[in-house]
Amino acid sequence: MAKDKGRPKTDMRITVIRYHLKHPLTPRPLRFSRNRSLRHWTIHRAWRLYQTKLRLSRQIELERQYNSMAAACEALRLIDGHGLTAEERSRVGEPDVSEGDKEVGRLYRIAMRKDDIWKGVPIEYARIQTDTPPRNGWNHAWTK
Amino acid sequence: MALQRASRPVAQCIRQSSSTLHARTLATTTTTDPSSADAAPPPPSEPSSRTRNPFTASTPAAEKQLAQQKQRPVGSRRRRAALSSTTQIPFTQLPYQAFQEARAFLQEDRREKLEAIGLQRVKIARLQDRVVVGEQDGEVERRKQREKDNRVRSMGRRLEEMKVQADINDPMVKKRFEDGLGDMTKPIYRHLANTQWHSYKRQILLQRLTQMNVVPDVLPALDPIVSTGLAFPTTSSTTAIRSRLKRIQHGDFVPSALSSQPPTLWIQPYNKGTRLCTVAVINPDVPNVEKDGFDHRCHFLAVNIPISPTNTKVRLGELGSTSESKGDVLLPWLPAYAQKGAPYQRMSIIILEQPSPNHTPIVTTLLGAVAESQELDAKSASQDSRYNVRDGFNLRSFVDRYGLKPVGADLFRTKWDEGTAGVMQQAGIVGWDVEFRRKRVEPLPYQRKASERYR
Repeated sequence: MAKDKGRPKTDMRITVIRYHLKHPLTPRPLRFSRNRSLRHWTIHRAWRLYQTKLRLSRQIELERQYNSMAAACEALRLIDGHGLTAEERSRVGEPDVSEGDKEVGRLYRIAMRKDDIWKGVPIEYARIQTDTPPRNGWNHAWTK
Repeated sequence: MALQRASRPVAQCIRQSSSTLHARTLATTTTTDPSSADAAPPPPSEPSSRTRNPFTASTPAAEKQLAQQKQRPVGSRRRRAALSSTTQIPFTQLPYQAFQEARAFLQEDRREKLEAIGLQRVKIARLQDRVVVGEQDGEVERRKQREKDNRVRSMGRRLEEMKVQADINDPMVKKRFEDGLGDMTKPIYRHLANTQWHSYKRQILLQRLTQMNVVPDVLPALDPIVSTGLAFPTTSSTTAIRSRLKRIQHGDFVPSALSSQPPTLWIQPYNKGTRLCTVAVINPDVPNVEKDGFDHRCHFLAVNIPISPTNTKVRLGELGSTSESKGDVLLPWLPAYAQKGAPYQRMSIIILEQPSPNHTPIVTTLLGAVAESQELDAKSASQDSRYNVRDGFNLRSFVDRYGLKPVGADLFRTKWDEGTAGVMQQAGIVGWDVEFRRKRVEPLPYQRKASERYR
C-alpha cells in the first residue's frame, strides 16, 4: 500500500487488456529435456496405437454385425412359409416351387416393401410380419 | 545432500533403497527386453575422496577439493548433482510407470508385427514356389506369369512396409537416429532418413533445380530418389593426402579456385542393394557468340560407380584409381569456369542409374531391393564420337542411348572471379583473357521535334 502511494493509478480496463495480451489462450509449448521428451513421445505413440487398435476392433465388430444381418436377410428371402429352402423341400419330398413363387420369402418381401405398414406410424410401432394367424381364417371344412 | 535430493527425487529414491523400491515400482510392468542395447547399469560409484570429477562434484567440500586439484567445476551445482545421481540409469529402465506401461504395450505390438512379418515371408515363398500352368509359350501362360510376378512384387513391398512399421515406435530407434547412429542397412533407419530428406532437403533441391531451370534445360524431367551432398577439397590434393572438405549447398556459388579440384560426392540411396551409377556434370550455359546463344559442355563423366546405402562416398578425382573406388572415368574433371563478362554458369551434377539386364529374375527385385545393374561398356562409350567430346555434349541423347534413369541431382554455380584466370591457365584452357561485352544498342534515329514541344 505504501509503495503505491506516489504512483498514478492505472485504469482497471487497461490492466485487464494488458493481462489478456500477455496471457494468450494458447498454452505454451511443451519444453522438455531430451529424455523427458522421448518418454513423452513413447507414451504418446503407445496411446495413439492403443486408440487405433480400439477403433479398428470396433470397426471390425460393426462389419461382422452388418455381414451377419445381410446373411440373415438372405436366408429369410430364400425360405417359404414352412421355413424350408428349395433344397430342403426337394430333400423332404415336397413339390418344387419355382424361384419367382409368391410363397417363397413372402414375409421378407412384404417387410422390405413396407407397403401401408408404417404409414404415419413411428417405425418402432410397426407390426412384425408373421405367418400366424393364417390369411384364410378358420378352416370350417376341417374334420378329424 | 538436500540439493541432491531435490535434483532428481525418483532417481535418488532408487539409489537409496535400490532393492526394495525397484521391485515395487517395476512390478506393474513387464521386464525389460533382455536383447535391448543397454545392459544393467553398474552401481553408481561413489566419488573417491582422492580425486574429484569436475562434472559431478556438487557439495561445497567436494568443490574445495576440486579447487585443490586446480580444476573448476563444470556447470551449475544443480546440474552436477543431477549428473552424479542419474547418469547410471539406462533410458529404457527409467522407473516411470506410464513410460514402462507404454513400452510394454509397444513391445507387445512389435511382437505381433514380427509374427505377421514371418507369416508374410512364408506366404511369399509359397507363392513363388507355385508353378504357372498353361499351354507352353502361350498368351495365357505369359499373362498368368505376369500376374504372379506383380503379386510377388506387391507382397514384397508390403513386407518392407511391415518391417518399418515394426520398429517405428521404438524410442531407442528414434534416439539412435537422432544421434546419427542409425544403421543404414536396416529398413527403419533408411525410412527415417528418407523421411527426413523429403521433409526439407529434397524440397530445397527441387526448388533450386526448377527455379534455375536445370530440369527442362539439361533433362526433360527429374524426380530425385537419392540424396546428394557435394564438397570440394580446400587445399590441393598434392600438398595434403587428406585435405579438408568444404560442403556446398545445392545451387551455391563456388569460387573457381575451389572448384578447380574434383569434388567429393555423397550419393545416398534409400533402398536396399548395390546399383551402378553414372555421374555426369553438365554445364548448359557455355556462351556461343556465333549463334548468339548457349551450348552444353560436359565437365565430368564417369560410369559404373557402385552405390549402396552404406557406400555413399564418391571421390570424383580418384575414381577407378584404387580398388575401393570403382568406376570408369570417360571424361575427367575439368575445372568450372565462366569467362569475364559472361553470366553465371550452372554446373548440374546428374546421377543416373544404369538399367538392369532384361533377364533379371524376379527374386532379385523382390523385397524392395534394386535390381542388379548392367555394366555399361566404358570402352565403346569412350569410342563414341558423340560422347567423348566435352563441347556440345547432349545428356538427353546419352541417357536415351544407354537407357539410363535419372535418380538424383546436385547443382552449383560458377562465375568469373579473381581466381578464374589462374585456374584456366593452370588447366590449359584457352580463352582466359577473353572478355564478353554486351553489344551497344544504338538509339533509333528519331527526329528531334521542335523545341517548343519540350517546354
